[in-house]
Amino acid sequence: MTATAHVEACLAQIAARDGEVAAFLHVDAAGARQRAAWLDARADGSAPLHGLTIAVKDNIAVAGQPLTAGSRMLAGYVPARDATVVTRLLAAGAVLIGKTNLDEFGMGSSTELSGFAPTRNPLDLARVPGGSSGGSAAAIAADMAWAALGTDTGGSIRQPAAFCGLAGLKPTYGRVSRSGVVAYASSLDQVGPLAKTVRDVARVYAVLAGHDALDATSAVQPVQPVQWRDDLAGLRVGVAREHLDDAVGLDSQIQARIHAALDALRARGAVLVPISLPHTRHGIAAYYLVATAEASANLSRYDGLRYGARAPNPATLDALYTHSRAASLGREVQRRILLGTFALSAGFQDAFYQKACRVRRKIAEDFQTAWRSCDVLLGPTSPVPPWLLGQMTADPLAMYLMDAFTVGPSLAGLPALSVPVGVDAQQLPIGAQLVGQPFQEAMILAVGDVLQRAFAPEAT
Amino acid sequence: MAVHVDVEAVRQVAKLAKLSVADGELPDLARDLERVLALVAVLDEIDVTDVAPLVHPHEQGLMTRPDVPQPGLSQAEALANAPAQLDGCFLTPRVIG
Amino acid sequence: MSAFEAIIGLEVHAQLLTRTKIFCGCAVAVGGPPNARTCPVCLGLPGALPVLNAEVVRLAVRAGLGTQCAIQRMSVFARKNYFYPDLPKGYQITQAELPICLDGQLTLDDGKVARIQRIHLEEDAGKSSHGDAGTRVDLNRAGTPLIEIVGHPDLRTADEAVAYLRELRGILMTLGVCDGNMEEGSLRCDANVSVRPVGQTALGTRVEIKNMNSFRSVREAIVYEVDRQVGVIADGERVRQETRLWSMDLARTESMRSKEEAADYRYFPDPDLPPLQLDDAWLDAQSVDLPELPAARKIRYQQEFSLETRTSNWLAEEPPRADAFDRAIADSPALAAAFAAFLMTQVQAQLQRHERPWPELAAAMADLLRICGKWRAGQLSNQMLAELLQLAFADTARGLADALAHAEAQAGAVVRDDGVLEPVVDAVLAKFPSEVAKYRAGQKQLSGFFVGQVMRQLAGKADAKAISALLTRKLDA
Repeated sequence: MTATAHVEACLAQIAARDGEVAAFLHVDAAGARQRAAWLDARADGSAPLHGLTIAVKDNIAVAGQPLTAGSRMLAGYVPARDATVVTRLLAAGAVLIGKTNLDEFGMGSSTELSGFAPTRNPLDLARVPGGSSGGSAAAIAADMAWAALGTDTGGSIRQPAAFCGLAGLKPTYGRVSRSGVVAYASSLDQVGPLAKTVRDVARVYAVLAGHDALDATSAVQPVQPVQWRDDLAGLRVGVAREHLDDAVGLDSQIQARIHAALDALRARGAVLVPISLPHTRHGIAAYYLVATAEASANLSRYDGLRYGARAPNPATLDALYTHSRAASLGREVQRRILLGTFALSAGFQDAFYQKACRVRRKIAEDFQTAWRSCDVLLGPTSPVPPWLLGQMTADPLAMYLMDAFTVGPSLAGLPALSVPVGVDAQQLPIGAQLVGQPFQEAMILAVGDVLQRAFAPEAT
Repeated sequence: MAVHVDVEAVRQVAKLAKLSVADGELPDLARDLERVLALVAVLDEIDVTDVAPLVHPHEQGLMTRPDVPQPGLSQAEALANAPAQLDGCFLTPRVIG
Repeated sequence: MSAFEAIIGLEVHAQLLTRTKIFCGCAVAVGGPPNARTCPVCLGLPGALPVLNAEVVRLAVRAGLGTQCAIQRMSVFARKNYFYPDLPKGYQITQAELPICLDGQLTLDDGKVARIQRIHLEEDAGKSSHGDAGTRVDLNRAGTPLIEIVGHPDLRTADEAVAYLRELRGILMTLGVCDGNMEEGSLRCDANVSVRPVGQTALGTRVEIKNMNSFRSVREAIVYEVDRQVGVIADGERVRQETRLWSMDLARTESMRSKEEAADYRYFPDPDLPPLQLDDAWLDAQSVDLPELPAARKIRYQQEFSLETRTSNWLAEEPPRADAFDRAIADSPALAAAFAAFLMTQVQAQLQRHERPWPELAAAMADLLRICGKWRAGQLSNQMLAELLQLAFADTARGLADALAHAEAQAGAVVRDDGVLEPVVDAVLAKFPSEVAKYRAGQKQLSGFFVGQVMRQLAGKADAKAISALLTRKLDA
């Protein structure tokens, strides 16, 4: 298949389905066609992602294309430079097809909180695709792109991957450059790939991973190649009771499915090790304080001054700031800025932000303890299947709780992969989360591949 | 730490965050904030007095760059997304004082 | 009324002498079109990340070593949150709880020790200019690397504050950390000033003074502010905690903002910048090649060249001047004391009259030394020297070195030939018979009068020693 044929197939899918799915905020049809033609004519096809279409979450800069981060604040903003991950994709021969929808600045778990329009789950249009990388997940699930970039702060790659029946990897913190990626919470944000199979995820990951001099938190460790395997003899798989049998609010079909996944791993030689992550129930609280505190500072640059939306005819500088921000930032974003500002403010910083950072260490130590007895952890990605649009929006707190299993690895900076492990009675997809030790992406990708093939033998 | 959040506290935080909030919205926001703070009160269960805060997930020290100039943006590129500009500068309402 | 004493502490911002900004590769420079030295990082564009300039670390460590600080093996960058048009990210990256240097000190010329609390790294803001059309923001300066040197309130007078600032500036310049230019703002000084009755241990209410961009303004602002605070207390009122701006034109400090509503900067560690860690081997290497600091230089000048304290202090406090001096006198150390005095008096007077740029003066150091040598050898009279210097420094059409050579040629040679001098001496003695008589009666001090009269007849271009010798021969014969 030529790059052009592949691009045309994706563009046709977009034309046919994106009206109802709303996965994209911007489709670069002309640019994609031009690049595909160039690749077909000039390239020898040896580049690792030659001619493959990739959708890019719209909080990642692609030079010359709009960058909104899902916010009206950035409507019309066009960056002059590519994010490092985009430079790497282009160097690997990929074709960028467009920019995908997200919860504003990544703040949400359903893509309903986009400043523009909600994205729908292509598998069931009444339901959400998950979030915040919901546009990226929906684009792949609807065959509008071969793979996509997402960003994950507390589960924003893994949960939409689970909701759309895809594989999605949040790499170790520092493994993939954040340069050119609109910051939500800088100590948690990571870019990672989503695709239909773990193998495809690995293919994109291999291009993204590696040190970048433009990101001072970028890790210098060498990237390990994945050793694909069929049997898991000797592999120790940790099962945290707080993530499975003692989990609060876990959907019973999902619980059953994860047990089936564990059985499948055991059948291939893995040893199941019961473990405990005692601070699981504190994860959400620590996560929301850390993330919103960092976000409150990260979003101060959206002041209507150098770029972005400005309130009309502000009389004073203060009016310019307060009206521009209040008019163009969504309600949930404002709520999180207020929470984060409060958590850092004089008199409260010790009790909230500082305390959350201390608990964060306890959570990281839980995982370190686990690594003494196991190589990877397996549990559900989300406690619930994809919900109906509007079902959660009334109560932001209820939505926060949906991140219960994904925020722990984020706080600890660990790599985590969501792998599709089948569907429930309503044919809604279920994802299993594999968590690895720092910089052990190769390990969870290899195990994830075995797991995915156990449920879908064709997924190679 | 269970915290009561009143309207005045929200007004103060909004002022710090430079968000204009209509008086009518203040009670709702105060209630939202109070609910979140009630949710995070779960942290009080843990004794962390001797635990150092974890800010950076990995213990890698700071990487530095050599003191070598790199190409930047032109004035036109710098101002390309500016809502208002004058004489090559970003323009804002006059700062009082 | 009881006597009061002032408690003064300085906060000094020094711009580091790097090629690029602290967190991005934009060039650091003065002037040029606005917003033409920026990039996504210093504009605060979405997705841009700071990466620390290694040279900034090296220079901050040198500053710390030069002020006897304890260099910290680990320091942390924090975000200081506030909104202002010239602060692109809505926060300034600075070091808060864990700065790079702690606990240093300076020894002032009079031997007094003033403690330094800390030195931390931070980024400068851009520039706002306020006009009728609104406030214009130029971000060329945003991200310029600074160190802030925070002194303890150990100073008691305006003179001590100036001495502290001079000492600090000399150290930073000698170490190549900062160019020390206060007028252009590469060295900026704020002062915290309070007063209390002598004998009281509790500190009075502190007022911060800003906008002092010369040594003179530091001295005058502090003198003014101390008087003002004593006056407020004498009137039975309380000093308000506030920030005041020094106005050179009005010769007073004026209230800028009250600290009653204290800002809440919400400092927290910058998640984009892991802790800065320095290893021992690197730190040891930094301590090896430190140049001679001004304090040591002053002592060397006194011991090696027998310079007076006043001269050695003056010479050493301006390191580029002292460097040029050292180079010039390397081959003629015997002339050092005379040359130093010559620079401090005659040359300094010319410099104050005619503004010649410093590099010119440095380039002309060898010429100045030669002229000084001729003067000391009697080949130039005092008056010829004064005229020569005046002519050369006023000659802005030429570079100073050229102008000096030109003026030197114009001045010609001094008259010391007895054949020329003798008729003039005879004529003077004939003109003042009563003075001659008094001289011979014992008023030998009249010798100077006769020399002056002869010199006057010869338009100053004569060798005073030759005249004096001739006079002595004739009068004492």
